[in-house]
Order: sequence, then C-alpha cells, then structure tokens
Amino acid sequence: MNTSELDRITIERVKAGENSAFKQLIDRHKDDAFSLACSVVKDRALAEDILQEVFIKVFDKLSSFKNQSSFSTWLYRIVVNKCYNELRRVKKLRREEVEISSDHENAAELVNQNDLKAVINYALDQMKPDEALILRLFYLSELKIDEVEEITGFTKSKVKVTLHRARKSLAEILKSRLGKEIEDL
Amino acid sequence: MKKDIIEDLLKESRLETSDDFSIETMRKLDEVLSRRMKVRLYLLMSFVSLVLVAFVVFLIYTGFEIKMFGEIIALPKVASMVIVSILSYLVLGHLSILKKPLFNNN
Repeated sequence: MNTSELDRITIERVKAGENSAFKQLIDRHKDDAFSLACSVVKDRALAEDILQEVFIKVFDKLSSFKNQSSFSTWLYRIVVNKCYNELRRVKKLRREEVEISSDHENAAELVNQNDLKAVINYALDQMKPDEALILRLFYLSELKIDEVEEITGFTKSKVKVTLHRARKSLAEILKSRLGKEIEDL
Repeated sequence: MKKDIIEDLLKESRLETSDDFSIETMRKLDEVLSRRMKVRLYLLMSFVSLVLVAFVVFLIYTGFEIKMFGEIIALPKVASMVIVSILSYLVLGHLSILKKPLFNNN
C-alpha cells in the first residue's frame, strides 16, 4: 500500500472522529515538511513552530480536503505558504539574528558531525529559499514539476529555471566546501 | 556535476524534527480542541443567561405575582435586580473568556 493510500485511510479515520489517528499523518510527513520549512525559513526552531501551527490548521481543514490532490501536496502547499508569510513578517526584525545564529549552528554542526548530510544541509542553508525549496521538493520529496508548481505557486518556466540555477549554485557551494572530494563522487 | 549525483546528495538532506514533535503537536491540538469546547459551552451558558435575564426583566415590568401557600407574593424588584446583576456578571465573564484568541498568531 503506497503513502497516498495510507493517507486516504488515515484521513477517513480522523474524519470519523478518531483524533488519535492524526498522529500517524504527522509521523508520516513531519520530516519532509520540516525539511521544506527549513529550506525557506533557515531556522529549525522557527520551522518546528510553523509546522505545529500548520498541522493544527490541517486538522481543522481536514473535512474540506476532497482527495483531489495527494495529502502531501496539500500539506506542503500550506507549509510553504505559511513559511513565506512568516519569512516576510520576521525578515526585517530577525535578519541579522538569523544570519548569525544559523552560521554558528551550521559551523558547529559541521565540526561535530562532519558528514555528508551536514555538508549538504549547510549548502542548502546558504542558498536562496526558493532554490533550496525547489531542490528539496524535486529531489527529496520526488515530486513532479506540475506538483512543485502547484505547491509553490510559481509558473512552470520559473520552476524549471529556478531548479537549473539551484543545481548550479548547490554544485558551486559543495565544490567550494568539499573541494576534491566532490569530484570523486 | 551530474544530475544523479545531486539527486543522491539531496536524498541525504532530509532533516528530522525533535523526538517529541508529534507528541507535542498532539498535545497542542488537544488544548485547542478542549478550549474550543469550553468556548462553545460558555456561549451556550451566556445565551441561557441572557434569556433568563430577559425573562426576569419581563416579569418585573409586567408586575408578575406568585401565588404561594394561598398568598400572593409580589416579585420584589430589588431581588430581581440582584438576579439580573448576577446573570449579567456571568455573561460578561463568559464574554471576557471569549476575547482570548483561539490560536496564538504571534
């Protein structure tokens, strides 16, 4: 049984009044949704707060979900919208603070973990929110261009152009960070 | 850099929420639902209180009299006003609870 089918069954249970089944939906999608939120806001604590609010909102609106698109597409669209709204709201207030804290966090992460995952996440943190988001939607969540378009609200051509630019800038960041190692991959 | 290398690298980029994220989210959800139930109850009580207040006011101004133990007892206006005050206080109390936001939008 695929994820969409599992989601559909779980949603029916929640709609029937079994609130505890909602935890299964959270468990199934939290990490991908969290990764997307981090792509945009670049702050893990803020991303978790946003995600909690989104899941509560999703619970409220679940009765209006008609299975026309997959649950994950619907969820990611809400997450992305919320993240961009939040980003606009706090951008001026927290610009310096976020830059400083994320740099420290990333540096510490690289020193402590020093693995590929930390390096790739460091690179994604250095990228523009749109680019990091589209890379994760396309490659991590394995969505099609149409679905990425639906989630982000970008046009198809913008998605393709951003994806192309994102791949280039990710490669550049990784090359500067990893040097020779990346050539061997 | 080839596309498939980037794809492989990005597969490694999945971030994980804190361990208690799901439990914490469900707890917050329960809080919201519980609060919503309270608000509904307060709304119902406020409505009943308002109806009672309106009824007592109606009785006062129509000069209603109660017949008890063979005697006619006039509904004392002062006592009625006390009841009205209490009910109004209850209603205001409920309304003040309703003023709190359902969601913390920061």
